[in-house]
Order: sequence, then structure tokens, then C-alpha cells
Amino acid sequence: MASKSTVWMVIILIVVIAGIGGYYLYTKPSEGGSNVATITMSTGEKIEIPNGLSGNVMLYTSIPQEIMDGWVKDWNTYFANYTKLDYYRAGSGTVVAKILAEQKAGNVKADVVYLAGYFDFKTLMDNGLITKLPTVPEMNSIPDQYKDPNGYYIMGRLLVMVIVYNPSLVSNPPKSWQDLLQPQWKDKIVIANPLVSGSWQYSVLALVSKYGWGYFQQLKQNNPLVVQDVPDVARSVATGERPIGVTLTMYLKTYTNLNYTIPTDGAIIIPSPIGIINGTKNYADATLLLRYLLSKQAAISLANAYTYSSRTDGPTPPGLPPLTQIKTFETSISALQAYVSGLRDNWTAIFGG
Amino acid sequence: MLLRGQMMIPTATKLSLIAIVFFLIIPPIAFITWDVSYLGFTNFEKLRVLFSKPYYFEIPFRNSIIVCGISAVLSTILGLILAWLLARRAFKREGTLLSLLTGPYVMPSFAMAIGWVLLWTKNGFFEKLSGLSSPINPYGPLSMIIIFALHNYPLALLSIYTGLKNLSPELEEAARIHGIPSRTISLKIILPLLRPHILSGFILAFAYSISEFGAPAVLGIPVGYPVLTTMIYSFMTVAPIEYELAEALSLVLSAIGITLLAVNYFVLKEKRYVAITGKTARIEIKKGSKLGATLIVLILIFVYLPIASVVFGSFIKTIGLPINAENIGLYHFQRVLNMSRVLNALWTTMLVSISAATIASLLGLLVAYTVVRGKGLESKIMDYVIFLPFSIPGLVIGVGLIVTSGRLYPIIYGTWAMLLLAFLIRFLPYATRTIESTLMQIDESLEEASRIHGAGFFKTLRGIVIPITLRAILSSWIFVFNSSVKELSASAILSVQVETAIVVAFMMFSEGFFGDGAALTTILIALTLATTWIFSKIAKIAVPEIAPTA
Repeated sequence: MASKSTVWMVIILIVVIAGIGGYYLYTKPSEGGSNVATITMSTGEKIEIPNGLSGNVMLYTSIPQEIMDGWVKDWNTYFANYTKLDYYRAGSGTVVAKILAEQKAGNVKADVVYLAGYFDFKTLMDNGLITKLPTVPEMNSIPDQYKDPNGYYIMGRLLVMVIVYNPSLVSNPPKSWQDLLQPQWKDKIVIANPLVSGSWQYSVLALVSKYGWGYFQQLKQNNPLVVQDVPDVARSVATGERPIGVTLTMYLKTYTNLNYTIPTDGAIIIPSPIGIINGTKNYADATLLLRYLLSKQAAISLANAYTYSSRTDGPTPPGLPPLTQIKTFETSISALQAYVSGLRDNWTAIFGG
Repeated sequence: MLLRGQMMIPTATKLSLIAIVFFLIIPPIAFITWDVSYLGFTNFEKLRVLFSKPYYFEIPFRNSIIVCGISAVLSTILGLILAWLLARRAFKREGTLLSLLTGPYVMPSFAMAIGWVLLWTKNGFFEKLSGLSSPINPYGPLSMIIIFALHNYPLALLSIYTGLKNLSPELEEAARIHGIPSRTISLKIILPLLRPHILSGFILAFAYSISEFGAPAVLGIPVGYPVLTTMIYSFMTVAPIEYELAEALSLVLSAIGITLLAVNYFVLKEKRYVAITGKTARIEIKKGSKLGATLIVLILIFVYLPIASVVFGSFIKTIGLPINAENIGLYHFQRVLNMSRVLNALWTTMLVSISAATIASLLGLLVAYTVVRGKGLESKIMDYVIFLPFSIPGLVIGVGLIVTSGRLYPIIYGTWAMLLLAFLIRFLPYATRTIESTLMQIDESLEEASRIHGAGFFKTLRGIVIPITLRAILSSWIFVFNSSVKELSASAILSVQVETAIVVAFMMFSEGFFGDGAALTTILIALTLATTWIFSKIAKIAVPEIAPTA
């Protein structure tokens, strides 16, 4: 009887070993990329396939699935023969937590990161995880304000934070960020939690850098509902739970009954940084991916999802004004820097957590 | 000459088992502990920060204990009442009723919380459909308590129901023969006998809710009511990231879990009873009263409301627009089922959850056997080690796994085997405990007889132990399967390319595609129910007979 179970054990062992071996063979990197080729994309843009491709590139990102789907489709059309694109997608904070854990394990799997906002990206830089970007032709179409002077990141996507309202419940919506403080909006406002939402965190810091924490102390008097993330704000306003909210233009696509105003003191523009992981074995592949991500071709998917590209010639999302016509809230990353470390304490002191 | 308890488990089996268990569970936990103690040595000031501000530790800790404590008590009371009604009162279709009443457990609790909000909020489904103003504020501790209680009472119900059904009838019969009124019998005889099961139900409900993130995030954050898990997530994922503080809080959760376990142990040790006898029960079953029936129906309605509102939401094309014929349909189901990503994710979910359930039940059986029958110190240590991750949130387990697997078993990194490992670590304690508690009630004599007649360890296992503990094994299978399908926080950080369906659904919710998320959640619930049903048919047992215990 014992021999029979031994036989079973051996069989199981063989199957396991065969499986592992098969997996290794199956995922062995392909030998692509030795002959130089130039790819022409549907926008007419040309990208040369760089030398020294390993055949694999891994993107860690918080980009919404809808955009990612468009990019993967493009990639499969133009570049999949040269290098295989894999990606991991989660909220910005989870992406950072994962990379930090991989760093502790001594094995960072990501080659390229594309996060929602600057401060999550900064955590990676502070941990020595980001290397300098190569200079690629696509950067010429992007204004200097979206480039790191030291060359560690470049902003690819711009999110636009505006005031949204439910037109069936509000006829005369607030016109500015200051308007939200008026007593007539008591119990009517919904906002996100900056300890959950990266884009709202950036916006809170922007508002604080201009108006101080007093702005949120006053806002608290209006008893806003603090939901988790910016899409929850959109849902809350769309369903009429609260008639007014602060969220990104991208959610106007799903929640078609929403209306928006661009605050007179300016919509908050949240630039999304792209970087390359320090010590990546797939630098050439990462360069190719970077070129694509900064291309006008990739910007089409951004616009389809109601977000903007940082390119000067980026397409405008349907139904939204061109970026040049949107009044922008005056702020800069360096102005926000000073308020980051106090965010958790100050926010918790006002809103409780 | 064989001595009692000294037989059976071959040394090789035992050693390899210990190796597997330790290799599986120790590394991630050791990493967390190391990180925290390292911080304690090198930067004690930073660790002290945790206790310097009340809302870092004190307030979340207090909130967690209050909410989870009260909800676990409610879960247990609800479970006890329902178990009593079902086991001791004759209602038609007892099996169906029990299946319905245990249903909420297969629902993801974050989806239940979202459903709860949609239902009761201003301009929510209740107000839209009834025209009245909502009587309930869907946010805050009270709602958290209600949702936890509604989600977790099936754990208590199943545990107590199994206890009632397996109860040895002699004492009760003797009391009845002596003319003792049935109320006294219930209070003085049955209730004390049920104590281990009641405690079991309470501990399961408490441990499950204290490590839960989804529901508190949806219901607590909007009104500034942090709990330990939401604080851990904030420390871990929001800049400025405070990794080690998150881990320190996780160790607090682990300590709470171990303490509960120790309490459970103490009580079980004190009160051992023989449940499996050859005698047929002659228990007095009264007719079900109107009051009881009304109570069951009311509970059913209340329990299914939040989930019904998610399912309802999945049929609405654009949420926010008026609910009329044009705005209702299968739109989101068509969308979701046309995404190859969703189909892949559903496949991954089934593959990983079925594997996790199968391995956890078999491993659980071996571990339980070693722990219960083995008398050495190593069995006791193993028992506690298995329970270290008992109440640690999934995100922290996920991070621990990434760090340790990168060094120990890099080959599985990013594959579905990684998810499988996470599920095993999280749910093996439940599987082991379920089988252990059954095994403890069985006398060793049967195994001895088998051994004396020349059967080897594996033959005895197959011929004696497995048949006797079959119900417990199947019960842990179902439990681990359901829990794996719902597991969100470890899966979210571990899945690269291979995603599970719940992660996809959660991302849909969190990216504003509410209808798609609701539709996928509905599909997932249907799939879980179908699998459980098919499994119970194959195993030829009624679903309700499947009960987890702590």
C-alpha cells in the first residue's frame, strides 16, 4: 500500500517538475529586434525599432482599463513582433506598494511606470528606483513645464479636476472653488478622500498651497460627504445623493447626466508622470514603450477616455473644450512639496480620517 | 505493542508536513515582524509616532474593537436564533431555508456595502421607488455593524446549526423523562452544550470582520470613522508611505487573532463532549410558529436587500438617469461578457479557488490529524503557526509574499501559483480548524483497530479518518472556495496579467464603471452559488450540512 502511495507521489512530482519546466520554456524571451525597422503608425508618426531589444517590457500603471485596452491594441498592431508588452494595473498607491515590496525582494519586475500623480512617483524616486529617461523625438511635442529639469520623468497625461453638478437638482452651480464655501451648499457637496485618491490628494495640496488649510476647515462647515475616490464623487452626484461634487472630467463619459463648471480660479491640472526603472534589463524595450506612450497615437486613447495628452497637438476629448481654453489653477509641484508631509495629520484633524 | 497516540503518523510524512507549513507561512510573517522590530531598533522614534497621535492607533483600534465586537455579538445572536428555529422547529423546506439564510456569506462584503449605500442614500433606490425619505443613514459605525452582522451571521448560524444537529440526545432525553420543562432544558442543558459552537461562530465573525477592508472603506471613510484596516491601507498606499507603521498595525491584528484562538482553546479544553455516537436522536421538534416564520422572512428580506440593490443596479444602463424601461436591460452583462479580460479573470478565479479549496482541505486534514493525534511539542507549535496570518489583512500578506517569494521561490512570481499561495496562507487556518474540531470529537479506537489489523497510515486515513471527517473536509472546501473567490486585497497587489474576477470588478467600481462592476459581481455570485450547488450534488450532501468552525 505504501508503495502505491509512493508511486503517486513520484507521479505528482514528475507532473510538477514538467509543469515548471514547460512554463520556463514557454516564457523564454524571444530573440526579436536584431534588424532595424521603422514602424509607421496610423497618425503618420514613425518610430524606429531600437537595437538591443530583449523582447519583453513590463509596464506598471494606474491608467484606466479603457485607455490601457487601446494601447495594448496599438502595441499588438505595431510592436508586438519586436517586444512583448505586459502590464500590471492597480490604483497608484497599490502600484507603489508593490514596487517597494519588489525592491525589498531585490527583484523589481517593472521596466516602465506610469502613475496618476507626482507624489506617488516621488516615493519611487526617493527610493532610488527611477533612472534618467533617454531623449526621444516625441519629447519635442511636449512643453517644458511637463518635463523634469533633471530628466527623471515626463508627464504624459493631464487630468482635469473640475466642479460637477446634477443639472436636475442645481440650476445655479458654484462658479469657483471659493463658492463651495458658501452656506447655501451646506449638505450638498461630495468630495473624495485625499488619503485614498491620488488625483484628489494633488488637488487638495494645490488648494492648500493657495488658500491654506483654512479652506478645508471652512469647507468642513458645509458638511461635505467624503467618499473614497473621485469616481465615487461622480456616482454620488449622478444619482443625486449629493448634487455638487469635485471630480475629474473623465467621469463625464460614464455619467452622462452630469454637468460641469470650470472654476473661475481655474481647473486643477494633474499631470501624470512616466519613468523608467533603475537597473532595468530591458532599457531598449522601455525606450520603445516610452516613445509610444508619448506619441500622438497613444494620445488618441487618452482623448477617447475624456482625458488630455500633454502634447501640444494632443487630440481634444469629444464634448470637452481644448486644453488651451481651460483656465488653469495656478500651482506647481514645487509649491505643493511643502504640504505633503502634513497632509495626513491636517486632513485627519479636520475630517477625522 | 502499540501505545495509544504513539502510532500512525509516519515520521517522513510528519516532517514534510511541518516543512510545507513552515515554508508556506513563516516567511511572510517573519518578514513583517523583522521589518517592525528593525524599525524599533533603528528608529524607535518613528515607531513611537504610531502611539503619539490618537488617530494613528488609538482611535482606529477602538473603532475596530467596537464595530467588530458588537457586530460579532449580533451575528452570533442572529445565528443562534435562526439555528434554533431551523433545527428545533418544523418548517417546510428546511434545507432551502438554510441555503437562503447562509447565502449572504458568498457575497463580497464591499459589494454588500455599496448596495447598502445605493439603497438607503439620499435619492437612492429606496427613495426613488417608494417616494418616501430614507429612514437610514447608510454611512457610519451603525451601518458598518449592520453590514458586518448581515454578512457574517451565516458563520455563526452554520456552526451552531451543526452543533444542534450533532448534539448527543441522552441528556436532553433524561431531563425530559424527569419532567423538566423544555425552556429549562434549553437554557440549562442545550445552551451550555452548544457553548463551543457559539464561541466558534463569534470568533469567526469577529476575526473575519476585523481583517476586512472593503466594507469599512465604503461605509466608514465618508464620515471619518477609521478602523485598523483602513488605517493600514492608508499607511501602505498613500504618500507619504509609512510601510513599517502599516506592518506594526498588522502585527496588532495578528495578536488579536491569536488571543481569540487562545480563548477558544481554553474554552474547548474545558468543555469536551462526545458528539458522534451511534444512537439515534429522539429530539422533540415543535411545529414552527407564525412568529418564527415571520422572523425568518423578515431577516431574509433585510439580508438580501443590499445584494438585491447591486443586482438591480447591474440592470440599469446609466445610473442616475430615471429608472424606466429604456434604461433597464442586459446592457452591462453583454458588455462585460464580451471582454476577453473578464472571461480570463473568471477562468483564473475558478482555477485558483478550486485548487486552493482542494489543497487547503487536504493539507488541513493532514495538519489537523498531526495536531490532534500527535502529542509532541512540534504539533502544538504548528497549530499556532498556522494561525499567525488568521487576522492579518490581505494587502499585508500580499506584500509579505512579494518580498519573500522574490527571494525564496521567484519562479512562481506573477503566476497564478502566487495567488494560490496567498489564499492558502489566508484560509488554511479556517480549514484546519474546521477539521480539527471534528477530529477532536472522535475517539482514537477506530484508528487503532485499523492499525492493529495491519493497515498503514494512508490506508487508515482513507478508510477511517476521511469518511468520519468527510463533512468537515467538504465544509472547509466550500469555505475556502467561497473565501478565495471573494478575496480582494491580496489578489489586487499580486495579480500581474493573471487577474481574478473580483479584482476586475473592484477596478470597474473604482474607475467609475458602476454598471459593469455590478454586472460582474452578479455573475460572480451566480457562479459561486452554482459551484457550491454542483459540489454538494457531487458530494451527495445538502449544502446546509456544510459548516465551518473555528
